[in-house]
Amino acid sequence: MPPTRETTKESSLFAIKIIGGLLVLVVLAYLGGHRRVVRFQEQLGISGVITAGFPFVALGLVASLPAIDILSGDVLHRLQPVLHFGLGWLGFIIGAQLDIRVLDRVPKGTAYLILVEALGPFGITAAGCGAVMLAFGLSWRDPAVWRDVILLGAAAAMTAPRKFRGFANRTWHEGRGVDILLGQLDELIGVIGLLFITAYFRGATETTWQIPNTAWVFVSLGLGVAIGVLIFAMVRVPTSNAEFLAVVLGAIAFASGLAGYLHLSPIVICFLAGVLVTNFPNEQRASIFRILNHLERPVHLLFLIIAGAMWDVWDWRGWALVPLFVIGRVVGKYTGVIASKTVVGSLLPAGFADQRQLVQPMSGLSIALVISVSSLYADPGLTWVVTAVIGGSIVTEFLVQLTMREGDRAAPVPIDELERSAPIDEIDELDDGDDDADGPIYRDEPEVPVRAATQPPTGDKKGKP
Amino acid sequence: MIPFLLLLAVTGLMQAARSFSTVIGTSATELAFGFLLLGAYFTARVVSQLGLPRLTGYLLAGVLAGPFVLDLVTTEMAGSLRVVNGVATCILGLTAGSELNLKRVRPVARTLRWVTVCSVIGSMVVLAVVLFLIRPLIPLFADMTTTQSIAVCALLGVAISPQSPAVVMALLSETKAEGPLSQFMLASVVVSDLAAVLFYSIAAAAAGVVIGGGLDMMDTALSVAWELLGSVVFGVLIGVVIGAFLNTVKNGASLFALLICVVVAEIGVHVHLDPLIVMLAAGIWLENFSRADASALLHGFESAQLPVFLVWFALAGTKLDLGQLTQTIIPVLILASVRAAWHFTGTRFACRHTNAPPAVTKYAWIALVPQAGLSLALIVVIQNTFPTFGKAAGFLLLSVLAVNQIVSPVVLRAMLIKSGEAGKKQGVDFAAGGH
Repeated sequence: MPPTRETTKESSLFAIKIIGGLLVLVVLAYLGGHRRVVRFQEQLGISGVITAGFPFVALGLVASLPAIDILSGDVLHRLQPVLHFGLGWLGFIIGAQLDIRVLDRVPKGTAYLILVEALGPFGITAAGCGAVMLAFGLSWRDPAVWRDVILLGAAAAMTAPRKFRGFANRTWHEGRGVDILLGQLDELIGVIGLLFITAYFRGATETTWQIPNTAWVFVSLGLGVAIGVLIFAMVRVPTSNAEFLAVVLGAIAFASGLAGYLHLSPIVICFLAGVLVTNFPNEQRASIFRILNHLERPVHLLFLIIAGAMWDVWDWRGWALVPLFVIGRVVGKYTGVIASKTVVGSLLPAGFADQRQLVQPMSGLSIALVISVSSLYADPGLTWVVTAVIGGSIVTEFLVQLTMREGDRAAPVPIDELERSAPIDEIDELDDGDDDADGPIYRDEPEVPVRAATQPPTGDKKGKP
Repeated sequence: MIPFLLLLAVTGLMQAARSFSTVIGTSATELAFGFLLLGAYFTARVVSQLGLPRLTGYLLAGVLAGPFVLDLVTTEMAGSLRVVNGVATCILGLTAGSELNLKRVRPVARTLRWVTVCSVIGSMVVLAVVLFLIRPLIPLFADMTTTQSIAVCALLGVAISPQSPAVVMALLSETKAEGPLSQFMLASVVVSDLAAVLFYSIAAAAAGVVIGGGLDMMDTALSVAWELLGSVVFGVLIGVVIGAFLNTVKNGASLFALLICVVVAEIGVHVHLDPLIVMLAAGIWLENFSRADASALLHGFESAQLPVFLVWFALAGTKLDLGQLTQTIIPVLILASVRAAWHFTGTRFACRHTNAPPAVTKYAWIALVPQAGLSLALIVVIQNTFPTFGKAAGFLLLSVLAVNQIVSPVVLRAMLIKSGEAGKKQGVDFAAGGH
């Protein structure tokens, strides 16, 4: 049927409303990353990864309401590439932060600490929420239920530093809070969980590749490594900033597009690529971080807006999982902390294990994880999982604020026990002397002056002098 | 060597991914975006080592990756990236407008008028006549009466004539050319694009009446007036807004302008405004009438421009069917040759008649030969508006465009270098990406 004047007018008004709405969202995402807004948030004590981003999740939620209908189903479908790109960007950033050399220098017992502390919340949250999901009528024979349970467990296992300063500014090195290092290591568990979910829980799709599920693990690893090596080689070619931006942007879009096309997670593939690119010796590291750092907050906030729009808050069963998720996480963490302290506590440096709190904020990657999976599959249990994780992360952050000790509000404690030769990351130097410039910034906590390597630690367990 | 190996590696990965599934999902959009961006960039690096313009590399990447050669980027994937086209057009308009300094163009304004009449409008007439004469070679005229053939020839004559500010801008940037010739080239392609929009609307209305394409003369006149005047007025308003932003906020202007481009690209089409004219008017306002410093905006813009333009030119390349070109090679070569020859003759005549500077007289004609954005847009419009002959006409027009896209950037670049204006500009290099 040819379009009439009325339908054209309606579609034009619709388009204007959608585009106008999207423009407002993008502007808000930009403003949310502005250094003045970040400072204002910090003054208000809003510095957790979720609480800082929650207004944007809420914004997405409101924009998707039928009465407003800016981020309707059709628009969200069209924005899927942006979502995939955002996931890939976050995965790349998180991977790029991981300085593998640090892993050789972490104190003995750290791996056990991480594993036990992660397994506690993973097991208890997965078991508790899984039982309730079965009570809601899902069948344990359905592989999707197992996938959702693993997803909930992985989301619960990950922690974030109490003060979140942006994904692109978390490379841990000496002088930085140990919670940053432990948070980074925790996120590895989430990425590994996602790797297995996308390999072993593949939906029925029309594909020409018929390979066993285990082979998909190796396809994911191989693809991540291949992309990483490719990006590592590609970033050496550009001769100007514009070219450099084009290559980094193209590489991440290509990597996340490849992952999405193969029904894999962009987070996993880009994480592996990010680890490789920044851990191979190269001179472009600082330039990569500069670009990642500059665009990270707008990309992240835009991602949160879309996550909010994809969130189905009307299904009460998802909300019923929230208290279970939070309690399971706290109990699991408690069990994990006790277990790790009991067994390897004496091996760890003073104050190391104490940096772990019972109510630890959830990592921003938790939300990315569930959104990544929900963009690949569609079933009712998954909407509950999204509610449980987003709702749970918000409740957790309120609990964090309530339980935060006075000492925690001060600057975080450095680990003096580690050797002094750890590399100083270039990203910390990017903001130096640039405080008055406008634009998004992501500053790290004020660093405690580094003491001599031979000087014994002088702080108590809470890090107070 | 390294760019070539990287290109092979990226293409290999793309080929492997495309073998996974025949169903194109939403991830295909960003896959295509990333692939075209990287493919265009590395192809340009390879062809630049052969002495060819980078622009040729961008287009070549699109041709090779497109549905007619390797089919790595399907028609559907290319279609999903249409927002890139719109944004690129707007960036181009804003940049071209901001580069157009009316004070510097004023001394050659008389030449510009003569070139527009003799070369641009003249080429429309000449191409229509040539089309009419060679119509036995073109199957689409087989079932048409003489009157219908005349109307369609007039329409296609106008549709073949548009120039490409994008290509000219890209090559001026790549060669860092600056001087009277560069200014004149830019001004002439911008003015000729405006003329093409105006004359296309008239020719389409006439063809609609003769062929029965469902067009109404009054409606068309009003829509042309709205599209041209409305776009200019809206563009000036946007120029005022950007100028105010530049004067007051100082930082973040490039992002603000980029957002404006996205909005104009998307909304403009829905309210029947021409995004190119809108942003062109905004750019001209900023450069010539506003107190804001447009050069600061352009400087901030350059990093964001390169990714958009790489994908835009590569997307234009994906539309070129070289196999199809061989089937219509004779009429296509005739039309492309006549078009170039007429621009050469018409422009030289106009320049000599108005005593233009020697460099302008000698080289300005080549800027009118390249085709890209507007021509592609008109092809789509013809295909949608005239279902009876639109597809066959689009086939012919795309083939002429393919010849011009392959040949003209190489010649234009060579002539810019020969004119002595290449390398005189410092800084901005949006298409080549350098500084």
